[in-house]
Amino acid sequence: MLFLKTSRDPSGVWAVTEACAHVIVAGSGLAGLTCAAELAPEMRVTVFERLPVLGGADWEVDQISVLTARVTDAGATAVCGTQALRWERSGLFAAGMAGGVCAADLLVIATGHRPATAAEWGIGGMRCGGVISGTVATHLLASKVLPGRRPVVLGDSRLARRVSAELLRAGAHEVIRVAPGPLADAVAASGITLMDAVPLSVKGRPRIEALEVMTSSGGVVTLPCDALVLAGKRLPYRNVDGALEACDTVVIAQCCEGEDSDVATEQAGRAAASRVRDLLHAPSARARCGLEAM
Amino acid sequence: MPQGNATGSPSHRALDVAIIGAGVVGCAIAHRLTHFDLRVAIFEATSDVCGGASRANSGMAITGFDCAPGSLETELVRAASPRWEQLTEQLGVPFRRVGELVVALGEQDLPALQALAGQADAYGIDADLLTGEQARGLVPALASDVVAALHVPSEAIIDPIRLTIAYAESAVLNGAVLHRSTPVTGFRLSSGRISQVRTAQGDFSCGYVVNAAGLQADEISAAAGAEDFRMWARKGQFILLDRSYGRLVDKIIVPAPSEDTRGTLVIPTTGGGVLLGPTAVDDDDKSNLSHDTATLRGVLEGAGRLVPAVSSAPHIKYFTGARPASDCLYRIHRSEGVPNLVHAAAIRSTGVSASPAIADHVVAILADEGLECQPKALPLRRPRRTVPVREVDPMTYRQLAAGDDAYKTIVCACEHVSAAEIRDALTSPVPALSLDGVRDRTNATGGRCQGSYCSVGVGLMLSNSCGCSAHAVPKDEPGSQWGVGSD
Repeated sequence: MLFLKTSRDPSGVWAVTEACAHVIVAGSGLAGLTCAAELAPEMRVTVFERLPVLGGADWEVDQISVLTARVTDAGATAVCGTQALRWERSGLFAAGMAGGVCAADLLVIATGHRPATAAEWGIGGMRCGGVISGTVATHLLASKVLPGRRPVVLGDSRLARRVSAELLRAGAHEVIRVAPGPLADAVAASGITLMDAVPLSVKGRPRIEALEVMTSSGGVVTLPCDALVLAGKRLPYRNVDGALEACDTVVIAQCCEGEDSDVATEQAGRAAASRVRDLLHAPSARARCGLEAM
Repeated sequence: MPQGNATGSPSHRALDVAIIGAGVVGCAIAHRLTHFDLRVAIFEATSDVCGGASRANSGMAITGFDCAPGSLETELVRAASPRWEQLTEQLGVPFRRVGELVVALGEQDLPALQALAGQADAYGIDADLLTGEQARGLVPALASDVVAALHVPSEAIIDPIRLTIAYAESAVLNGAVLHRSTPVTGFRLSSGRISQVRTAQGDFSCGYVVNAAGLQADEISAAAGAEDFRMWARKGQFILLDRSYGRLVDKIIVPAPSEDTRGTLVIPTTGGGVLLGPTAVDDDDKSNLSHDTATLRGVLEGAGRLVPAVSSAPHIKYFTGARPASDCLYRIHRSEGVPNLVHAAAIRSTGVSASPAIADHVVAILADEGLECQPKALPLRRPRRTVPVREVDPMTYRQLAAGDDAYKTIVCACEHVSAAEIRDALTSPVPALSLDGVRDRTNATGGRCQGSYCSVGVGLMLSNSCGCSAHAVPKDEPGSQWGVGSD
């Protein structure tokens, strides 16, 4: 496909400058914006964001608002309130405020990260209420809902540390943080117990009553609790059908499992940008994009 | 908004038929009975339809080619099989005749395959014996040591939860009253017949009673002073794989039957995922549906022998079903002692597959006992199915979104479920009352992230619809709510 690059001159007038490739970035968090900011001066870039504002959930964060300005000033298009659904030969099928098919040469997956699910932890036991993801716990706490008075928070991540502190502030009596291996913040805050253990199974019906864990010494311990917050193993979150793995038209801008910092996330965005350049400079991609004719 | 609940008016308390249990069997019977001019009610102990074995099974609509001849089970399974295309079209239930491969992993399995081929032939069901090479031509992911396979193209997959809900919705739309969270607590008998069903919502007089109470069918029978039998749970654990793996396996894969077990199956789901399982362990504890990782490892090993690639696939969730097992299968008959009680019980493994034929069979028994089945004068109303975003092409999507703004909000990003689908699940003739209820109807929260992102949005819509506060949003049954308190 052949696209025209538009950019704004210093007087603010949009002008068509040259023929170039079109790259869609799905997601406008730190990784997506970092990638888009690098690419926008060089090619046509469209950023899709499921939430109504560029920057997504973190749009108010300074680092994010600086990036959104860079991205839009460089001439990238922002499509907000629109969820990328399917990557097909003809482009991206998205649903939402600006739903439809958007033709493009490459798709960058910058759809963020999520905590591991109970199945991914290998947790057995009953199906009980009160077992929630750390992201859900954060939202509930923001809505003044207390998920548990004696919660267990699973995982050694920024999310786990944040949720634990918020739970205590919101009125939890005690938080037990469980993760396999020594926890990064070896000194626990008051009210937080740290435990090096592997979760085995949950008990309780209809709501959780206990979590069974295996400690580092091999013993099985039952921890009475009234909530289990899954907040560990930050995993890449992928939900665009046809773009679950990298290929010659899909580039991933996500951290690897276990990477859990803004620096790593930015780095994933920059690495994706250079991967996009490599793919576009490959002769086969140039032919596919119609650039060889120029 | 239709609620499918009791109004308490006297006319609702006088029933021609009271059905106990809103599983696939009870709801199929209600659906069938509402074709006639009858007052029908369903009483369900749990908070939603499809609370038991109907929800946690292999999601197959079998032809019966591998069922031994001579039983009522085989007869009803075979009678139901050809009807699925029409029925699922009418009810809007996902269904596909994907076909099945019964595979032989060695020469020792060949006689079993040949016997099954002969039986399928005798039933008039198409079945072809294939070489291992030919079988891998159909399903390239099949293990290299599969030496032969029996291909049965008409074996099918179905969404058992949506089937049960659709039966219930159709029944309610056509006049049946569904009482959820309403356990039957006893009966009043006069002259040897049940005159009243006693429930947590009061007493209902009735002409006939159908016992479709699944695992609790023995307790219902005992409470009516009818047959003495025992039900227990045959538990089956399952692993659901990511739907990116659905492409790998587009047929049901079954090991050749051995003396003691049917083995682990690999089953594509109508939602595009793959199910591995089930196990089969008898247990008197009917309520504990826990799973354990040691058993699931065994499931994974068994499935890996058929399709090695499943070993490395991501797991979406684990679940356990409790089949209603008994010493005598398909206890579908008029009670000897209580002539206006009909048992539809001990339907252990094939309730989904046989459900339309079971319903017809039960209605025939009721008619034999004197129930007057006058077809309704008005045409039947059919449940309206909201078109899911994930099933449409971009052109259709634009049309949907132009006509309904709720299609512009994607709530569940993993399963691509829009606010329109969730809204309609919350206002259907059998509305969702819990997070799992919404998932059962739309698949929202049922994908890769298991609700990490969307369950807040689903919960908000649910709390608006039910009028409950955010902390009280239940996962499933009362008491399974999100929060322990709020400011």
